[in-house]
Amino acid sequence: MIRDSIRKIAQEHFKPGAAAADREYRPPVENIKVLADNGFAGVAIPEEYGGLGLGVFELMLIMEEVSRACANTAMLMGGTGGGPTPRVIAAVGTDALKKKFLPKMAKGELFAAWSMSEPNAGSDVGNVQTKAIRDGNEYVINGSKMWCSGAQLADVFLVLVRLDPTPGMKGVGAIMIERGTPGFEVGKHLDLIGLHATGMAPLYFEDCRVPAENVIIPAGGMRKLFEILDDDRVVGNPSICLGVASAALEDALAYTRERKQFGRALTEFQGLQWKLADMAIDLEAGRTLLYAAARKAAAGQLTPMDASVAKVYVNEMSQRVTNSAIQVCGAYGLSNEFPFERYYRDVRGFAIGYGTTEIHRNSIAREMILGNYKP
Amino acid sequence: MKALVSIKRVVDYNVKVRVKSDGTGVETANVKMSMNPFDEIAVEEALRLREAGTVTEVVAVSCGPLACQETLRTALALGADRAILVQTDEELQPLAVSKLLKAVADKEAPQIFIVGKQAIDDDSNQTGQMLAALTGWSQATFASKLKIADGKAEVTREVDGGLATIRISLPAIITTDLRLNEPRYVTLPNIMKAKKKPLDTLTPEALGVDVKPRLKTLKVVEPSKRKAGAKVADAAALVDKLRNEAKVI
Ligand SMILES: Nc1ncnc2c1ncn2[C@@H]1O[C@H](COP(=O)(O)O)[C@@H](O)[C@H]1O
Repeated sequence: MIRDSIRKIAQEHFKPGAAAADREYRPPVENIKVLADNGFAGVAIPEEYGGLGLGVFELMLIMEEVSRACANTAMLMGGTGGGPTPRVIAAVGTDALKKKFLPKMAKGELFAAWSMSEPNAGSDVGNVQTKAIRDGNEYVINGSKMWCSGAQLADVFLVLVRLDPTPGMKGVGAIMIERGTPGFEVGKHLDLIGLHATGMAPLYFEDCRVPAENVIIPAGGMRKLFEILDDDRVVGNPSICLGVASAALEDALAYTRERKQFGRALTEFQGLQWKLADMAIDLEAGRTLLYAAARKAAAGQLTPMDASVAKVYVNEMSQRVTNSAIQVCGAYGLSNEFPFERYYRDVRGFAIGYGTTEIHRNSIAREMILGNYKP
Repeated sequence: MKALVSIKRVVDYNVKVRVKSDGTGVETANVKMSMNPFDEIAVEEALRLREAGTVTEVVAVSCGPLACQETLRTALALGADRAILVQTDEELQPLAVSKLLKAVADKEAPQIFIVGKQAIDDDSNQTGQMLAALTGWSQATFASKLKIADGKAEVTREVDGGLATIRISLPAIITTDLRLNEPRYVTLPNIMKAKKKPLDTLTPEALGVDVKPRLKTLKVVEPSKRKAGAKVADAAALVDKLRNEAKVI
């Protein structure tokens, strides 16, 4: 029922405007209002803070369905009560931080961004260089962040910073920084290959003073964050890939059923039939893998290996399926009058975000070599 | 004032229906099923009456197999207060459904019973009318507007020549037309709440209703395929074809 409901909302409200939002680089914030009006903003926020406290599996379904209609909206949804920030706040935040942020996020009134990457530290979190130096009851922050999704609309940012001079991961923690804090600036929109409407931008900090109680993860606490992120590897990034790949196959199928070449419907050509079948096999394999991971995550049994296996497969599956969708639609697949080229562009970044597929392969191999995996 | 709404579980309107190979009916195995769209409108209208303070309780009723529970849960998630399933695996024809609904109405004593004008699977358009006949209550079919005041219902009906507005006394059976309202979305918090709302199960036997089919289906066939159209160069060619080929003018 959750799926039916969100699918209907997403197909009716989000899909029609998806192409224009992307073309105009305009974050579809009106969609967040629709989500909030129908109770889909506070999905992961605990009930005592006005949310619904839903599990990973439901969240994944919701993200998948939103992405099937509009991937940019799904990215923005990451800034509401369905995204990583509220989950981190709920899991490790102080009561004061929870009370301050969660109820508003549950209503979709407060938009939170999440900022991990730096020019020289993407997957390499241990190399975070943005510094926060304690001064009385405050931290003074200096440095910059890159590729922050939702930056241009966010009210509050969860930022990974070096809270302690200890080198490597041990010195890294996270702090909540509100928009408008003196010394904090959001940069110009960063134009990447796809997902043009997420308001992605760099963040700059120059002697930005933030109250010490805003520290949400103390130095050395990143393990905790990664545990939460493991769930997120299932809910966020690959769910969006799955949704977009589903849309690509759905639309490609509709197109090939209509189109005629050499006097016959495209679907009468066996070569094309096989291609469509391969796309479905790939898509369903990815879906099965991701759903299984989400079920494990919901039961608290997700291993880092499960998360990485699902992420890598679904990331790469979505590239193959969206690529094939272009191929079967020929020149129309390339045209921006059709959605196929957008699907292809939109999924590309997910194999880089949230840990590149290579980093995830490293951790898969590590688990294997450690003997934590029986084939 | 209590409102009852009837809910039929039907093949989803997006599904391309296929006739079973033996011609006994349409394929329903592995097919997406949903609430009959006119019943969604019925639920919506009842909820609006409740929100306006006219109605105090909305009860959704469905007759059919166990799977109808899922459709009733959707009615609960839309906002109905409770639900009743009259459970049976028998094939139900409109007369049988009307008898079951009458039995439920006798138990529940609603002031208003909102029924879809027709089910999109069999397109019978009979249940509401038969229910009115069986209960002896007043009826207003094909409603596109509904007002309740002073123990009366004022109903605007879609009729062939336009709109007719009638005033009927309560209790009454109202059947919904497409333009009565636009149903809301099922919201996530309401889906969660629906899980805890009461859903009671009755049986035709317990209600003392004989549901045996009175009509026999001889054969179900696909509609004949439409022939491909033709393009004409101009209006003159069209008139020529209409006159000499189709012989309709
Ligand atoms: N099995 C059923 N259970 C509950 N309501 C039904 C059932 N069959 C028909 N109805 C109601 O009767 C309306 C008209 O159906 P019909 O007369 O079959 O076209 C539907 O929109 C439903 O509101």
